[in-house]
Order: sequence, then structure tokens, then C-alpha cells
Amino acid sequence: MQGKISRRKLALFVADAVESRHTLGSVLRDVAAYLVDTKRTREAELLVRAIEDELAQRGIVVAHVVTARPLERELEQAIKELIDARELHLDSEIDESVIGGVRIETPGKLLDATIKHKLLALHQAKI
Amino acid sequence: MADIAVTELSKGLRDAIAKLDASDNLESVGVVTRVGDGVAWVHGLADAGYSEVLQIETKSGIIEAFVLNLMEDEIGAVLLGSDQTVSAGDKVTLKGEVLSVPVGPELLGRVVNPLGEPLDGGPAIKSKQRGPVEREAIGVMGRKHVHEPMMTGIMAIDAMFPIGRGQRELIIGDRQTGKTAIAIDTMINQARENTGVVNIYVAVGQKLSKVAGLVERLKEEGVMDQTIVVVTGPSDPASLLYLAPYAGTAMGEYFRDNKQHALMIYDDLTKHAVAYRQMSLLLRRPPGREAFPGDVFYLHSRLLERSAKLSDDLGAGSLTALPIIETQAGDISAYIPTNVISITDGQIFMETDLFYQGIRPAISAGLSVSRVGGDAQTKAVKSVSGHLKLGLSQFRELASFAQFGSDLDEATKSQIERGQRLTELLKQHQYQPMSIWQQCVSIFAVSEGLFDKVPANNVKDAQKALLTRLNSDHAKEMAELNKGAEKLEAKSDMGKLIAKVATTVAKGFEG
Repeated sequence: MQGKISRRKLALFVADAVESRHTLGSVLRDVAAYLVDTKRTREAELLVRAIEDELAQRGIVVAHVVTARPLERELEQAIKELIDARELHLDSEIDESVIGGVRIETPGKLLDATIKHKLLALHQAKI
Repeated sequence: MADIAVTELSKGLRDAIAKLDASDNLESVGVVTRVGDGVAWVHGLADAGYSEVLQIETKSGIIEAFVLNLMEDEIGAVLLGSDQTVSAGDKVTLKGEVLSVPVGPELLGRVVNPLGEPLDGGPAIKSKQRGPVEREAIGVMGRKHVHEPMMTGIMAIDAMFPIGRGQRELIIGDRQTGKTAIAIDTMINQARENTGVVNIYVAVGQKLSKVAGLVERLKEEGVMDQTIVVVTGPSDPASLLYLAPYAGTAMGEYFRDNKQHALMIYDDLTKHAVAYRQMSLLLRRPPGREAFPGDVFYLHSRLLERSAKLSDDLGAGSLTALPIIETQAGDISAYIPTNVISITDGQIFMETDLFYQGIRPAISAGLSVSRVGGDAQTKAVKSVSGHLKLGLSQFRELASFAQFGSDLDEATKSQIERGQRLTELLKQHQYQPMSIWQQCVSIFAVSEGLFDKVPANNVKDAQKALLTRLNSDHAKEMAELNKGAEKLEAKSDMGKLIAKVATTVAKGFEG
């Protein structure tokens, strides 16, 4: 019987596919089938993180950006300058609860410059 | 480089710093993927170092953990608090430092946990300094040979297995054989004799009722002012039990490095090894003998190596260690006991049989040894105790041999009788450590044959009377003898004086 394929190997496989511009859909279907077959669906979330980590190392960075209002072109440009990447994919989300500012999350890194975070930090410092 | 004018260097540099500051906010984060049994598995944080502190942001505040497993895509961290509030998905950041505890004289008289937080209900500890919990032991050139005595006040130990400052002497024995009692008496003796030695008692997974009793006793005896008690109970997480000895040692090292002397008591390292085994197994490290991980030897060797006598250049301070190991049914060849025996500079072996025969402290003369303490013995004690260990061992052998027949020659008989007297003499009640002069006089009286006519069961009373008489009538001479600088010989004036008083005292106790 063939041994279990490690999460890292799966991540490498998907990252290779992304880099070589294969149709991502079919690759993901294969991986999903493998996870279901080996009863490892619970690892899906971790696998996504592993894939993002692997891609980041190759210069393809997926950044989750949270703002209170839709991203402006200038800010987008500033984010591109901040994050050193060959290829940057922005996944922007609008969340009014952050009040203002921006929160950028990349694999392993976090920049929280939202008003909400600053207020919380002030609140904690006061305690 | 021509884009900035030389005159604007300052502005240019400041602008550059401001720009870098913005990217500095980009902090490394990880996320908790699994948690349970006091261990959290973290994804991300690729730049985390071994033994570094992590901060996990939970709904009810920050919980700290320290890194023990660094794997390809995951970190295994041991939580320093409860795992109840930590959940998968919590954000994890690096604290940017390895574990440290407050150190300094501010801790004296306090009862703390291994993180240096007070447990005695007193105010928070505001120390000027912090010491790293894990620290490399001092090197060869920073050390000096052990040469000053660390008097325990227990005659059997000070005479036969002397301990020196900077030595590591293991106290080993089954449960309920008086291991902790020896450690407590040693602490009490430091206060009574005003040696200035700082005591650090580390309770590893000890029953809290026992520790409370101990602290109470230390307060009664006036020892607490020069004592730090580091406590972990059986209900604390294994991570705290694991840290306790290292944290205590960090506190002791402060005194060692500041030209003072400190005494570490680790009660006990068996429980410490068990806590480490629990952590290792939960971190999925491969188990070895008795399910302990492969580095369990290193666990104790790196701890005990930090006890040392420093060279004069480094201030000549010292850190003495009295680790305690509990054996099962007297088996000193189990894994942890053999490890610690081989690390330490000798051991004091406590025997259950002796304990129940009423010979307390129940120290086995045959299995105990002190490898470096001989040089540290004071001249006075050394001069009287030279043949004590040999005599006692020979007596035990003869006594067992003599059971087979009653026809014994006079020489053997007298040797057995003297052995019986010695055994009686070395019995000592708890919390009654003896000064140097008391030890010298007692051993001198028996080994010189001054008590030969006193029956063995009266020896203790005769000894008491002799000490009282000498203390009241010859206090000055005894104070001199207490310095321990002179040999105590039968021919010397001191020897003659003691012989005279002892002979008169002995007459009152002859059977």
C-alpha cells in the first residue's frame, strides 16, 4: 500500500500547478478527491495555508486586505510597494467594523493599521 | 548616490528610518492549528527560535507558550497556562525573547511560581534584573575546586560525606525515608550558623500541603528571610513542573555571580523527569527506556552543571545543589537514579530498613559517598572523623557476622560495642542541626573511647550532658573549636580538656 502523501508534498503539487499556469480547477478537484479518499478533509484549511506559504516563497503572494471602504488605486499601489512579490494577488474584503485604515495579511505576516486595532491597543495599554 | 545632497544627510536618514518603521509594523504571525493536553501546534512563524516565547491571543487575554518542537511546517509549543481558553484559529505572535524570571534579593523570603509570580499573597515582585531560565553553565576557566564546607548540621553527613560549596550531592532513597528532612535541616543550619548562604527550595509537583508546612516551619526557624521557595503543585501544567528547577537555578545564579553563596534544593527530580516525559510524549517525540525521551540525561546534566564554585576572577561565589531522587523499593539502578548518580559529585543514600530500625537520619554508610567534599571539610571535623566511615562499615560487617556465634574475642567485642555507640551517636532528631564544635566533641568522645563504659542506649544522654557542660563551663574554648581551624587531637590542650569533662560526665551514665 502506498504511504500517506504529506501535506507539504500536496502543497508543492498545487503550487507547481499554479506556477505553470495549469487549469487550477482540475488540479484542485484531484487534490480534493485525494483528501476525501484518505479521510483528510479536515486538513483542507491547513493545506490552503501550506499552499500559500509555498507560493509566497516562489514570489507569488496572496494578500488578504481588509478595509472599511473599497480599496482606492493609490492604496493598492502602496500595498504593492510594501509587499515584495513577483506576483501579487489581492483578496480584498470590506468590513466596516475596522472603522478605518487597512489590515493586510500575507502568509506568515500581518500588518494591522486599522483604527480598530489602534483603539484596542490603546485600551489594553491603559489597563 | 547623488540624489541626496550631503547637507541633507540627516533629513535623508530620518526619512529612510521613517519608511522602514512603516514596514516594521509588518509582524510575523502564526495560527493555532491544534491544541490539547497543554500543547499547542502552530502553523507559520517560520522565524521562531527554540525555547522562544510565543504569545497566543485568546478571547480571554494573552496566554504564553514556549517553543519546543520546530518542524517543517509546524511548531509544537508548550502552554504556560491553561489550555482551556486557547482554540484553533487563535493568532500567535513572537514575544522576541527566551523565557526569563525575575532575579535578585527582592525574591528573598518569597514563595513564587516558576515564572516568578508571587504565590504567598504578597505584593508583586519588582526586581531590577531578570535572568534567563535556560543558561549555559560556566566554563572550565571560570571554575575553582570545591574547598569551602557547606555544613548540613547533620553529623553523619558532615563527618562521613562532607559537602562543599559548589558541589552537587544527590539525596536518594525510597519514599518516607527522610530525604526532604535532610534538605530542610541543611537550610535551617545555614540560618543558625549565620553562614550567609541563600537557600532556594524548588518543589517540583510536591503536595501543596507539604510545601505549606515546610514554609511555615522555615518561618518559625527564622530561615525564610534568606530563602526563596519556588513551588509547583501536582495540579500545575507539566510545563511549569519542567521549568521550576531551571527557574530556581536562574534565581540562585544571581547570588553565585554576585560573590555570594547559594544552596539549591530540587525536590524532586524524579517528578521533573516524569513531567518532561509527559511533555515529550505529547510532542510526539520518540520514547526510549521507561518511555523517557532520548535527551532525559541532558535534561538533568545541563541543570546540575550550572552549580559551580566560581574562580576568584569571577568573585568566588558558589552554587551548591542538593537534588533529590525518589527510588522505588530501593532500586538505585533504575534509569533516572543512575543518570543523576553519574552526574552528581556523590550521593547520600537513605535506607528504609535503617529508618524503621530507628536509625534516623537513615543514611547508608556503605552506599553513600561524597566525591569532592573531603577537601572542603574543616580541619577539626576531619581530624575526628578520619576513621569513622571505615569503622562504621566494619562494624556493620562484624555485627552481621557475629550473629552466627556468641564466642567472640575481646578485640572484636569492643569493636562491635564501639560501633553500636557510634550508631547511637549518629542518630539525630529532625530540626536539630549541630554546630562544628558539637559534632567534633561528640565524635571525639566516642572514638577516643571516653564513653566506653557508657551503655549504647545511654550514649545520646551522655552526649547531651557533655555538650551542655562544655557549653556552660567552657564557652570560650568551644567558640574557638567552632571555627574549625585547628585539629582536635587527644594530645592537644583542647583534647585534654574535653577528655577531662567527658570522663566526669561518663561516670554519671555508666550502666
